[in-house]
Amino acid sequence: MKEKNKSINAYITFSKPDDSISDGKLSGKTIAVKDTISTAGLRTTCASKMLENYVPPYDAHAVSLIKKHGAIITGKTNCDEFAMGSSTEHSAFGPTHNPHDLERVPGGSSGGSAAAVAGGLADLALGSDTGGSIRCPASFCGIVGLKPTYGLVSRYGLVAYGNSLEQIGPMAKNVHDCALLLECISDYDDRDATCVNTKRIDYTSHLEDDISGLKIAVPKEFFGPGTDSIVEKSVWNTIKKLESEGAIVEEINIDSIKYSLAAYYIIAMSEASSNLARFDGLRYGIHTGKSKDWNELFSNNRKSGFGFEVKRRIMLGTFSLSSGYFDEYYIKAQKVRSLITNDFKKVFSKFDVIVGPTMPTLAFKLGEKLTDPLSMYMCDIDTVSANLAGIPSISIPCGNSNSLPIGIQLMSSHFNEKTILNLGNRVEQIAGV
Amino acid sequence: MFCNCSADYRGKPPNTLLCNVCAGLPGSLPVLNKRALEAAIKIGLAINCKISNKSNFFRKNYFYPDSPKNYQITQYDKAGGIAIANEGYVETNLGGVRITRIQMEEDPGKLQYEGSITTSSNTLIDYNRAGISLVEIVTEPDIVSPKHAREFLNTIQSIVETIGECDSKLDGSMRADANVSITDGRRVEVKNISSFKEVERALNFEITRQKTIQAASKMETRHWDDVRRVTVTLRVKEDEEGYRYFPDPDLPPMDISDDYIEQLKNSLPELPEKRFIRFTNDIKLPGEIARILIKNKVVADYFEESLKYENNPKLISSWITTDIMGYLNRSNIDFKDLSIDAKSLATLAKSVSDSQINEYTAKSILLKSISSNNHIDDLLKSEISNSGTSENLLEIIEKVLNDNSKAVADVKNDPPAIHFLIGQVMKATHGRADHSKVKELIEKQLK
Amino acid sequence: MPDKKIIDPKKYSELSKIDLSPQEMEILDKQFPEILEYFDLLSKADTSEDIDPQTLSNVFREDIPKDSIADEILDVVPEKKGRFVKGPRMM
Repeated sequence: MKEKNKSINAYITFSKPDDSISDGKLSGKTIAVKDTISTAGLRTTCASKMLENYVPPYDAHAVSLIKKHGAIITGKTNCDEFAMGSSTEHSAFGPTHNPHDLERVPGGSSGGSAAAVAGGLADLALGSDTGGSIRCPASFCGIVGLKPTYGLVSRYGLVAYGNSLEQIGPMAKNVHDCALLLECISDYDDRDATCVNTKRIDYTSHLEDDISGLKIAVPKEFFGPGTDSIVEKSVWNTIKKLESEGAIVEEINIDSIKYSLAAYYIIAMSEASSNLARFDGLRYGIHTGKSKDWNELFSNNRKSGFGFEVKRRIMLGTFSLSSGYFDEYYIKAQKVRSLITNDFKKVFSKFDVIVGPTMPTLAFKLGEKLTDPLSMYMCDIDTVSANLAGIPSISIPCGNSNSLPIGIQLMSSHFNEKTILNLGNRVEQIAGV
Repeated sequence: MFCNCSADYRGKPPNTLLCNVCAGLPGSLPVLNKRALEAAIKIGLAINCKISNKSNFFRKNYFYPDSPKNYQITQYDKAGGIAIANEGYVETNLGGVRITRIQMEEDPGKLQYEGSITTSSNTLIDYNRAGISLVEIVTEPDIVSPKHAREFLNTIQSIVETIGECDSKLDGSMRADANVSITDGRRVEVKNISSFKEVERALNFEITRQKTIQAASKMETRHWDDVRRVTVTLRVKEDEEGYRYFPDPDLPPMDISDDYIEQLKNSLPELPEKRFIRFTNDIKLPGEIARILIKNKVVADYFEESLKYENNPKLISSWITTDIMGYLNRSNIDFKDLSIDAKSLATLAKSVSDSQINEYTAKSILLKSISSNNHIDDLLKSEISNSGTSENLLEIIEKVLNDNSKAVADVKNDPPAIHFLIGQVMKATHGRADHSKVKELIEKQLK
Repeated sequence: MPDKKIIDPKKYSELSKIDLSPQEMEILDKQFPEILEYFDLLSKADTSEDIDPQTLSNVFREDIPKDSIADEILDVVPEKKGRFVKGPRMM
């Protein structure tokens, strides 16, 4: 497997074989874990020089659960540094390559996890999604990836980037395996105060439910000007097929979606600036040695440890939170967030599912968007609203163009994963991808 | 406050009480300890605050080596932040002080230096204390003098100890940062004050310093050096904008019902001020004595317990406030470690009321009992059997009368001569007998 | 009101405790205004309606002490002196 990994670079660390494997729902299945998720005794770098040699003393809740269910952890996967990115190019360990076309990005930030599954280097994978980081690579790599409702899966052990937005989620070759993995990791955890103690569902038992009569809303805003016509065509094709199966489809407007990207980035960067403050090299992580005083040591450690994208986001976040700008940026973004959440709530009072493309384009070439950060941020335009509203969202392969995969995105109301898994299962069957 | 590590950090080797959460490891998350919320509400109630029905946590972002996350989880009073309690009031001997608010927050770790902060080439950091629950009480600028500040602190101390939410004997359990400005001057914060006595000293120094430079020209934070007894510049105080406060996304807000507040209110014991009124009005103790007793709940409880067995408040309170507390203070012993229980003290008082022994004897029994391991009951018994009881006394009187037949004869002619005989009896009883009783018995014998 | 199109990279590099090279500062100086201009899109959003985001509340844990994992945590500390975490000078 190490050989195969060389061309794709999906993994940062391979785990040692473990004989003490228990029996459970995931028995015999191999699983790759994104390197922003803590694994006891197994190096967790967050794809950063800052944590190049950091070995956590504890497992994330999701990791304990997959171990409990008998999965075999193959290793830690590459990602954008501290989950900040949409292409897995911002990694201190080199970019990951899309298995469908090695010159293209796999998407991000959970690009390594997606590439591992798509490239046959793991059966399943865990990723994390703050603004699309599971769904984007799932779409670009042609696999299934789900961002759970905020609060369904414990964040205990997930190195925080945008902690009011993110969730650990399942990635797999098909909807069934995705549902199975979700079942295993969605156990309540009292060590995460934002984890909701609601009834957990057997997601695999609702996959074959009848979809006729299901009301589907298609917001025009998800087919904005930057959307590739081939993507638009493929997604609409799939929607039409669902209509012919009995689903009721209606195009709608959700005006506030056009503000979602700006709101997302302000909130995410603000939270990141605070979440990443702990990385000063004193208690763990990179330590650059002697310095004049603590101020200089911190600044040096962080200069050496963080990549440029991370530095950029931390500073923008610091700016958004500082006095004089706080109201205009952070507070405004939170208000817009409430607006978007409320708009989605209104939509779900009439519809069961919102559908659109996951990504506006096909996987782009490595290096293509590196010089223009804003163009990279724009990739998230269709995915961030789900994070802002906290609703579940899944990306499913619905077609391809010159062997480059296209993903369709399904969203439902809070804790309604079973609906999008059910619909997703049908998409998988009719898309025949 | 947000993790399950033991709060008993004093005296422990450095970095022994740590977990992911309080050490701020990547991926760790805080979960609020319900007991911390309860304590904060109770303290708020005890100082007459309005308890908020909704409250939340904010992050105060700043870098410092003692701060594991380089932000502190605390509470804020702007931008949607709601502190746990507001608008309170505390009465002191030197005037009332309004309480602005109470906020819950976590303690950082401790920094140690090899030498002093300015000379040490390294800083040694112990995170045992990181994450301990704190309640910060912020006052309005109602404090008019350093003495007033100290009185205020003493009052707060007696209140929080009475309700059992703080043991001020524990090192660092109560700390104060003082803010002081003189007319037309900027506010200067003085930190690192280790005791209430030092608060008074530090404030006196700082006021003099500000007067000398004719009012502080900039807001700053100064550090109290209790060895040299001066304040030194630490850093220009970060304005609030430097802290970038925002709501902590990891901690859901708190909904505090009126019922819950009522329930906690009812669970509070009698507060010091109320007890003072009861001691002075009902029990009729003098004010100064009452003040001493209410200062420490353990002492006040002990006093009242003793009263249950023998209703002699004057005597018992006098023994407690002078002899007992005097001895304990000199020997550096905690009141709660007093070897005499309340009931025994009452027994001693009863012996005096019943004239079995006199006050002088009682005092010496008391002192003997505290300083040795002898129980009051035993000492009393031996005392009374040695010379205090009527039977024994009669024997002694008979002996004295037999040995002093001339004096006995004198009394018949010259009544004041009885004093010689009384004196002899007192001598024989080593001064322990009750004078008037001896006279009575001798007179009886002589008839 | 400061010109909001200008974020001073030097100021924020100090506030975030991240040392930047002059080239990095130059790049950010060019990129920040463009990004901020995009963020300014938000000012067009009508957020006058007061929407109360319903969230979870009252999540607590019990006051029960548990064993610490201090030794494992000390294991990852880069610079120590005995059991202390060793830091540089304060002043």
